[in-house]
Amino acid sequence: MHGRVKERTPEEKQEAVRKEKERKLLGFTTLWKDIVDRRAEGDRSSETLMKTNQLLAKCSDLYTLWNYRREILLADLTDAESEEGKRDGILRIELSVTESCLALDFKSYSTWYHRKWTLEQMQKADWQRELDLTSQLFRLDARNFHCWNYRRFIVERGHIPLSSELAFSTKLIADDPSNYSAWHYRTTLIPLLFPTVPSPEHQTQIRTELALVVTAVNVKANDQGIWFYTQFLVEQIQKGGYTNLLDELKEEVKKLYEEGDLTAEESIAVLHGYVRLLLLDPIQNLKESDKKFVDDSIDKLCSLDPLRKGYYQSLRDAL
Amino acid sequence: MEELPKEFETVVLGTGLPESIVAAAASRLDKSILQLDQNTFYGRDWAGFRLKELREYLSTLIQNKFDAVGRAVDENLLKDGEVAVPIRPSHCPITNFEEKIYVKDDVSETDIAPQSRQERYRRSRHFSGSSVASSGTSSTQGDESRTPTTPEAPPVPPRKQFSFDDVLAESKKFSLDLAPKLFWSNDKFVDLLTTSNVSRYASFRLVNSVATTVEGRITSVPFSQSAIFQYEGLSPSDKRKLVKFMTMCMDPGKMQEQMQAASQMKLGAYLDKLQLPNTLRKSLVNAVAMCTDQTSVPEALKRIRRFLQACGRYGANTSPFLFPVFGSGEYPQYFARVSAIFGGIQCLSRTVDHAVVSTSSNKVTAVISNHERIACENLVLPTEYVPDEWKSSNHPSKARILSRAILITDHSIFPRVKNDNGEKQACDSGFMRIAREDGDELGVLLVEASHTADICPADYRVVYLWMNAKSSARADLEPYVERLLEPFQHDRDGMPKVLWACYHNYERWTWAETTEQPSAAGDAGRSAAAGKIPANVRVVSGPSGSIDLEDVLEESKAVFEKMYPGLPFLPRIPGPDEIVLDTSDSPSLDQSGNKESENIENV
Amino acid sequence: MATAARTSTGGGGAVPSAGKIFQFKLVLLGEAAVGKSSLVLRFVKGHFHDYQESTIGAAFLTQTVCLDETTVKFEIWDTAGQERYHSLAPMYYRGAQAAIIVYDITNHESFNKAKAWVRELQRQANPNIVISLAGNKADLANKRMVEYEEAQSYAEEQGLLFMETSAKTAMNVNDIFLAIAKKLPKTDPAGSRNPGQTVNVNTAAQNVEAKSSCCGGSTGATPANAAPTRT
Repeated sequence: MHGRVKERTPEEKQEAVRKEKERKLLGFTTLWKDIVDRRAEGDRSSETLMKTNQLLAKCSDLYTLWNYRREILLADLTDAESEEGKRDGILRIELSVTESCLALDFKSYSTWYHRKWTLEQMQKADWQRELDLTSQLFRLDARNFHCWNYRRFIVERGHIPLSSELAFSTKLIADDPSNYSAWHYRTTLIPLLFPTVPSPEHQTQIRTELALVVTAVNVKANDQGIWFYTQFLVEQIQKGGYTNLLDELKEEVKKLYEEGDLTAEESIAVLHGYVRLLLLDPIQNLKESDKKFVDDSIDKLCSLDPLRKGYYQSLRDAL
Repeated sequence: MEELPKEFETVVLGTGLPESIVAAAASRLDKSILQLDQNTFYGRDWAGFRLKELREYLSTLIQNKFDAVGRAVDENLLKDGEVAVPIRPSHCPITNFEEKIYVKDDVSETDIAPQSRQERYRRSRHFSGSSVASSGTSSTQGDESRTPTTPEAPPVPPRKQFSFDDVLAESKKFSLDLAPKLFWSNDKFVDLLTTSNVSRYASFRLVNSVATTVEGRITSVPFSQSAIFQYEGLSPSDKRKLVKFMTMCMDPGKMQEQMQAASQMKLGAYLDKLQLPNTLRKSLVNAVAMCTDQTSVPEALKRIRRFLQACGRYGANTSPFLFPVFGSGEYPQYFARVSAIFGGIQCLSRTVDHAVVSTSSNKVTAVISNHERIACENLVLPTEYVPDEWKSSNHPSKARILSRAILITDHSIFPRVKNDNGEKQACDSGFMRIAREDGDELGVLLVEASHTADICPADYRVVYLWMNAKSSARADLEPYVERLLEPFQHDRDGMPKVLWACYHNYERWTWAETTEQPSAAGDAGRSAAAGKIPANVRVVSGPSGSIDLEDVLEESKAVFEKMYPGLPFLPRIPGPDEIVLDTSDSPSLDQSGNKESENIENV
Repeated sequence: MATAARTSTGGGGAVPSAGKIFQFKLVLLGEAAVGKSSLVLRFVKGHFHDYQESTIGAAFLTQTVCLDETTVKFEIWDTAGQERYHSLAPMYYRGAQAAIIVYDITNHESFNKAKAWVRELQRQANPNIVISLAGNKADLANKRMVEYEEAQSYAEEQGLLFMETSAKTAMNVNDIFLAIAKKLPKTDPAGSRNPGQTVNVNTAAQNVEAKSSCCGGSTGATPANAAPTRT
């Protein structure tokens, strides 16, 4: 017919793969040796920079190479002191190098460190872009602690308004109420945003938090991360003395328990949460009916979740 | 132009989508395939057009005569025992083409010096009803009756001024489909694109808005847990109910249970038990299940599950739909190209006048085109081309008529959507299904896309509407157009405005067995009648009213299976590292084109 | 994908190199038998056959050229023979940023046809497309029917790049692609289009699979067994 394509046999494929691996390995070791030699000679050329780049693209954890890069860059940067914008130009190239490396491995300590170092050297960094980069990476892994640390670094250095960070956390939670990192972020942001407690602004925010938590537990009743956050919420409520909010929280959880058509697993989480809320009050203030309810609940929890019997029993001590 | 070879394994009449898919699949098996299309363009009733070309095509179609009398056949081309059967489309499937231009220059030449479109301000706020145009001529008779802005009227904020000539000037940037379609994110059709390597040229835009109307108002449908989480106006316990319901639908075991428990129920009664707020309930029925309250519960649950499974595939909050960049009119071309790559031949502007049938075997042996005889072992043709003598009482099945509209507008009709940073921005592309009062199951379907899908210039949008026809397309769809978009009489700022609308009816014939009641003649009559069509002729249908292309895929596969039973249908095309070119003196080459160089970067 | 420098969604897809990589779709046009396929094969594979079959049998081939600061990757499309019957699908031109129109210097008719292709491109393709004219089979100078100057002045008139090439001797083959690479605009096209919303189903399938599981930390890769830690 026409210039037809023929398919390789499996053996041919394997052989080709093996040859390919060998070739790659040879290329790698040759390059590595070359770079090591250059450093020994004190080479600081941009050609060397490109070579380190090639290797780092394959394996970004080779911190020796990053160190060497920094050596070369520091020399280049001092040279460029006089020219405005030239420093940042060099550093922007560094950013794109780290970006390429992060694309292949976004959990490499060395790469993240280098990126941070680069930003610290810059005169005019584009903090918003850095922020967007972390948002993108969170989509791939919402718990990447490198990324979270990096984001905190940006927020601080780039003077990003904490209120927008709070909004970012809300969005992450809406996308996935199990995103514990996002919940945790709030516990650090809120005290910073509202240092004065009690205050009307703080109260408004806590009301918002309450709504968020209630929605989250309704949508995902057995996620421990959300219940854990509830503890923080309660703490804040107590600090501010917003007793009506605490009552509201209790009401909502009660409603969820009674009307939420919970599965067995969900019941454990919700009931436990509710019991702990009830036990916040000093025992003498508890109504008789509530005391009985707590007592019965503890029994129920023990039967639903026998592995944690001991813990539930210990709650009884409070009574 | 080269002469066509005189012999092919299969001749395909038309470059529409099902026939191109069959051609591609057959070519892939190394069968020699010839596609002939009487049009100057690919795609037949699936084609995409630029704006000027679309208007030309639709308006001249009406005038084209579809003569029942074919050309005389050249007896020399027939062998002994053969007869020639005229093959001509019996009728035009597109009727009732109407056009309405809403916007025209309202600034007369003497008033001001010529200004660019962006600089012109709207002079008058009132367009009179008589400024309606038809078939391309913009009338200016409305000028005198227009009232100038009165001094008391509040100052009109400057708004981009369009005239139809401006729109026409950008005709090349439009790609308007006769049969617009969406893809499900987990579509089997999309899988086919990947295995056939068509996906290397096809890309898509995420449809980021799904909506319906509730009591006349456009309502966004929350389709992901994330959207439900953020949905305003819904209590936490209602959110819980909805999430539980959706989770149930996604769990095959639980869904089976529900389907059995409620097998005799209708969706309406079933949802009553859930006690969801009305807006949400309507959203679920109209846009997620895409059916009515009268649909059976098992069927509705299946559809809901289908919708939900396609959500979130490209990110936490993504809708189930994809809009094809450049529109669906490209797809017939994509598959025709796959056919060409494997040796198939396409020839446009070429009619086939006759099929040559051997009377003894009742099989097609050749076709006659431009006084040339082209031998073939199989013939594939669209339903409209089937000559009367091959028809029977049940084939083709009764026609279904669709009403279609294509609009050019200036703003999205969908509410703004939240992007990844939580900021609201204009909707990129959207899908809406509106329930019909008469309970028709298809409803009214609407798809909107913008320049991001490369189907129109920036600053514009294209909206497609369609439904099962009750009367003429314009009578059917114009009420919806006027409800959703700024009716031309009024000038409410902020409302999206329609600049141009065109309507047409499309008559779809299928050859396949229908699900309607069998005729009184019964099975005996049917099988006798079906014997009329030659055994090696396959018939394909035109576009249906469905939102996706699953039915096309089914039909193409069925036709292929009949022609080549047991053979693989578009098996995965080898990737770059698995291919060796048929050259003896070259070592292992790879198709990705990377030279075996020392530069390890290219690895 | 058939458009330039589109960065993919999320963290995947960016190919590391000293500078950036720009990808362009390049289409070949010209009458049958002028040597389009030979030209491409010479550029991509570095070989030539006297009796090359008329089509390559592949959707497109790719080849990269290195410029000073950037790398240009060409996605070279073949007509798959559709031009023989004047039935080249419009999708062929979609998103094409460059084109090479090939004629045979020993066949004046093919040169006339080449002019028709230039007009066709002006009609169908995007207005900024970089067009270059290639007078192929320059090794057959003794059978020349199209003078260099004739083609050169036509090319100048139309604003096209022009070279005479020979797929057989490889004369000017790399050069013509390099010239095109230099002329193509290297800009980041992200703009207002939000490329994150565009889905290419090939890479999307990979993105869906690529979910990391454990926490961070190096795998202690040494030069001996180094490999990318994430595919």
